Amino acid sequence: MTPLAAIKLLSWNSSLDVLMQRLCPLIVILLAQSVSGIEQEDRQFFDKLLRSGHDQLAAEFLERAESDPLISNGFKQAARFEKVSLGIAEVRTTRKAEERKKQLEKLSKQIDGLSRNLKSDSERIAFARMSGDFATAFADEARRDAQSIDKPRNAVPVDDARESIKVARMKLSDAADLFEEEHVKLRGVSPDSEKGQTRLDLLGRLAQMRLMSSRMLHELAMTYQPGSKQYKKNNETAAKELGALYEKYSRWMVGLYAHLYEGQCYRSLGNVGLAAGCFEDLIGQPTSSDELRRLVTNAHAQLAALWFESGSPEKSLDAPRRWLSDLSSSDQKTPEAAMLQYYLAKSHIAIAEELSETDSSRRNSLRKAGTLLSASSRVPSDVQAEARETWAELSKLMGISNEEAKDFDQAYMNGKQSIEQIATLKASLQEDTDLNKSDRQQLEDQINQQQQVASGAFQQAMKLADRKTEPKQLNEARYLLAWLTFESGDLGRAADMAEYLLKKAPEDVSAEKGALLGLAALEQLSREGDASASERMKKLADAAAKNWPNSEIANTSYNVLLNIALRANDYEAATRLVSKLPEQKRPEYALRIATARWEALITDKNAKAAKRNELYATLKKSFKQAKEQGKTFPQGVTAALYLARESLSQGRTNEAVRFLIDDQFGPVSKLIAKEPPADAQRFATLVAQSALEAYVAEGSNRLNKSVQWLDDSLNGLDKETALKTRLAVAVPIVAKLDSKLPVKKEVSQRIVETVLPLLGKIEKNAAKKDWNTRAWVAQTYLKLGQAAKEQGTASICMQSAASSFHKLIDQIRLDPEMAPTPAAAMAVQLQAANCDRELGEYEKALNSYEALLSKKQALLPVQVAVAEALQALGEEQKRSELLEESINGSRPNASGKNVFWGWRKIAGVTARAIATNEGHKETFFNAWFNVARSRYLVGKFSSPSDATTHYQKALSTIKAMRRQYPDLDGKVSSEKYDALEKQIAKEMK
Amino acid sequence: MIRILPSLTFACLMLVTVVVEAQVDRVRTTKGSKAGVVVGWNKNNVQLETNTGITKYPTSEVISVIFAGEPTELSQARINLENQGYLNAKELLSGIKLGPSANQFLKEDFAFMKAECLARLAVAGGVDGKVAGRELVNFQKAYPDGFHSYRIAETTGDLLVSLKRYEQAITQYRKLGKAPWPAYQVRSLLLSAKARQHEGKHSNAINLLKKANSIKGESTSGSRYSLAEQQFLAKLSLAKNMAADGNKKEAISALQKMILAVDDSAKDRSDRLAHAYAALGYCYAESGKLTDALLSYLRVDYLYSDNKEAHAEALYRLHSLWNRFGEARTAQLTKSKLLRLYGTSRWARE
Repeated sequence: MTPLAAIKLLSWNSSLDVLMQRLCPLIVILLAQSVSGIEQEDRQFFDKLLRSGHDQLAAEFLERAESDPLISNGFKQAARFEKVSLGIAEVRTTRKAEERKKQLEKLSKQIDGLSRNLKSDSERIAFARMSGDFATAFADEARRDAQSIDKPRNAVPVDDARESIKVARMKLSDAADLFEEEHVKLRGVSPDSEKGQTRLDLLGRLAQMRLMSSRMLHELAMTYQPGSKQYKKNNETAAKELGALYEKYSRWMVGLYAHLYEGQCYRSLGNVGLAAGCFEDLIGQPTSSDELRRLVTNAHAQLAALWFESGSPEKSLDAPRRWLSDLSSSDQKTPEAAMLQYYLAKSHIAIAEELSETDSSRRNSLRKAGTLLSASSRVPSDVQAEARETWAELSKLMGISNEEAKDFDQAYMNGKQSIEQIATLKASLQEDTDLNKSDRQQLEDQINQQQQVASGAFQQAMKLADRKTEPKQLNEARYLLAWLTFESGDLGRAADMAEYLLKKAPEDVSAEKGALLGLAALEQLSREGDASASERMKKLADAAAKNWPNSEIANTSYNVLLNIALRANDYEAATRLVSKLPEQKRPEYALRIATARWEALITDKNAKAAKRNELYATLKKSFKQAKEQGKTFPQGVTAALYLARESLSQGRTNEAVRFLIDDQFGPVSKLIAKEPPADAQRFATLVAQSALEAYVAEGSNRLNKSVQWLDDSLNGLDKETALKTRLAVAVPIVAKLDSKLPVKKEVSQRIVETVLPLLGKIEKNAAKKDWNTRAWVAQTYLKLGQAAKEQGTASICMQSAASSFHKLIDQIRLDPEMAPTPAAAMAVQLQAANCDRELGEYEKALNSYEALLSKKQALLPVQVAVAEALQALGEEQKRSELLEESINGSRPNASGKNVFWGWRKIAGVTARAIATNEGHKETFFNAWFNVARSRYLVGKFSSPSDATTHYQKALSTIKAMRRQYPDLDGKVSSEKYDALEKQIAKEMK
Repeated sequence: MIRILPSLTFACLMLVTVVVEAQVDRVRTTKGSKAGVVVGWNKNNVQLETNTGITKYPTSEVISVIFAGEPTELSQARINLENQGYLNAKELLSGIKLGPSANQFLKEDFAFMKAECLARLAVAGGVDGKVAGRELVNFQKAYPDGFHSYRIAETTGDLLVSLKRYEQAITQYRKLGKAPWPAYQVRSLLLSAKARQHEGKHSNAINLLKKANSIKGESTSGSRYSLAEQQFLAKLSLAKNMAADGNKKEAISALQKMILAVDDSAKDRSDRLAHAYAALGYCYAESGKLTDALLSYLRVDYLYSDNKEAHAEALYRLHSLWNRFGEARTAQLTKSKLLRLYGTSRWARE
């Protein structure tokens, strides 16, 4: 498309919104001209992001562009403008006025910032275009404000609206100046060149700004009292400006629209002749394109309004009415057509009001007005709200003056019309998000009122029905009356009417719809505790299924019948029902029964194993048969989940995975696709939990997202429920680490990877004082760290464990009563220190140990841990004094006794304890071994002359132990001593 | 009559040409096509006898050899193979039966195509890896020093990687390193490093890649693999391994410098950027910068999709990223695109 064509096309749109939508892609195209290859790629990429609907990502790309070294400088410059353009596009899609205003305010500041830093002509042109877009968006908002001043809801104070219009005109004028300035610079360039096309684009935009500015003046005039000085003056000036624009651009769309608005100004001034002249000029235009047809429709609408307002409504029913009836059905759904329909309806009403109430043409005219208003109120347009209101008033008028209908047809038509209006009012209630509370209430009141009107009309129709009445219409009236009764909440009566209809006209389509309604009513009654509803529902479903086999109602009926049987645990009746079904339906229903039986079994604590095996086999078989049928249904997914869970509990992980990812019923597949029943929170959680268990046990990569699925399924739940669920999932998985079964290395790795994020979330959600949960989390981290030893995640687990234990200690400090017992608090302190030691934080660990031992020295495991830590730190830092401390102890207390015992004292204490408890033997031999080892290490770190002395000491310790205990407490221990002895001998050589 | 004569003459000439064409072998090299009779080949060269004598063409430059009188299906299968249409190639090859008197080189070429096809399908998960492996082993035993030796070693290595038998894969890749061309030596190290990367041994991979980048030599014009290209890929792989080994910032910075250094006018610019942005996406994902990763992979998808390997990888990673961003529908569309465009690639199997 050439820029000229683009401009011409654009100028046809009267709505500023639509204008903006067309402008934005054009800017991208034009900006893409004359840039380098890399810059071109950046633009292409950005453009593709937008075209693919990734607006948010495109915005993030722009945000990153500034600091990304890979983005070309040219695009970085342009990104500043693109950001604003994206912002303007966002304004267009925002529905709430308040939000739009905030966005415009923000954009205004951004544009101000940009205006100070324009370096080149191309930047100035880009800035001008962007300013034009912004001015258009601003003017659109001002126009909305002006139109809402006399509306009961969301009214903007009149002064504010006027101020907005004035500011909008200034912005439009500023933008026009910018276009003018840039366009002048390009004078004389060849029209076919790139610059020539840019010049043409600027010219088109300049004309747009001028058109909108004059139109805003008309909007300003309309905020004053008709006939007032300001009203008159502004409209006259606007008409003059628009007339000049028409003269200047008469061959462009801009010019034609200027003429349309000029006519509007004259219409407002009451100058019927001049206004009609303008509109009739436009009506005579060729209508070869959609855009032209819309302009002409608009002109007809204006003309209809003019005739209505000037007291000649009958003239509207001439050319404008013919034009409307000649429009295609898609053209009849445009905002311009909606406007035309509205003014034609107003004309019909005006004509009807002139007629006497007994004149049959009166009702006919009103009915036509109703039809037009019904169509108009469905299309968003400037008159949509008015159309709805007028229609409501008209219905009231027709309903209130609801003189007894003379025959069935009239009553039936009245009822149908009300039903149609109910549907439109309900649509408004759902679609219009700007409605406030009182508007909603008003609409609901109107719906209730119309329901009563419709009920009255159909009841009248029943009374007036005679032999001549068309049975089809009579049954439809019966059905609609039943529906209205259902809507009013009288479920019992609605069900009665549906049953009657089925009995009276079993062949009629209205009876089928009635049966569905009856089933819904009875289902509701049954839930509310109506004892007879279930039996009635059974009868109605039975009759409906027989009457319309292989239909939607038959399916619903079978479902109802099956649900009744299953609810009553009457599996025999359910199975009998299956035998009556068409062949192709049987597998689905058989699986539903099998699933229901399984459900009942797993909730029965006394269920026997044999029964469980039998029902499991049935479920599996039914599942297989349903799969062969090839049809997917939600209960099949539930069955797959039950089968997977049972397989998991039996340890058949591969089988469980197969059920979970089954291509037809796989719950995981449904969860990913967010399809029912996996779109329900509880079901989704159970699927994620099962996937997680299977993943941990089997490790199929296909399930590696299970933690994410679990998180997603818990999204939006309250903290406590989410916490409980995560705990319920994590506990059995962690339990695997406790079991004596040899757990494969990769399985333990998988457990770690799976449980880590779970624990993080559990800890985050647990209350600060929830000792049990927090201690369990910390312990589990520690356990995972131990299980993941030698793997990458071990240190993460240990760090997390240390952090969790320290958090608990901090909490105990604040609230000493938090720990259930003092021993529990000490255990936590010990484990925190152990974690620090494992992580190589020896000093921190030693300080924690000291704090513990200063309370109670005779804690043998702690003393052993301290001696180990001292030895490890000494070895790591090659510090002999620490190694000596590991042998002889350190950190004397007030009474001069060492708080840290060291290996020698540990050996002494355990030597005495062995007499009463053989369990201390291992510690005793280990302690002496470490005495020798520390001495050996001191030797290693000493000068060669001193080393031998230390090595000799180490050897003496070993020899002494050998002498005293020849077997050194068994093979393992003996080998340890041997190895150390050899190492020392090697060093001594 | 006079008017018809020239046409008839032209038709006769065409016929003669076709007959002559059909009786010679053709060696397609990166520089053009040469007709003659293939009189010998080994892993380093193909010997073609023409009127002027025997010319040796380095196998590094030979794309394929078309034999005189070979079945049409075989020629079609070869084209399919070159374009990664493995399923079609397999189908075409299954209908061919060479007689006992067939040219020995043709028999070898046929056996290669069958083995290559099966192996590539196995890498993509469409065929049993063991079956494909047997075929490759048989080929290597039967033709240890043929024209296809280096390529079959690479394919065998790729199959072994897909079967997680990394040590054996590296043994195969090493065979490629014995080629007399530096580009092949770099490729050998690059592929071995990728095997190590799969294995999670990133520091080993880094050592191999550093070695690959230290190899000196000149890019031989017309070689299937250029030294510069292979070393560029090695540098990308080095960055990925550095990121996986914890040096994420350095890896990202190195990749950004490489991207900026890509010559705007280079013939392989698009290929280089495709691989480089895919590597950058990987490093961003490793660093937890998922939006940056998404944008990098999207660049490959939107701008550099001509490079099949990088594009397939980008689609695979995008599928997973879209899911992580909760865009299930977009993820599904991306997966469909991956399966549709690269259904027989290893990324489709992942």
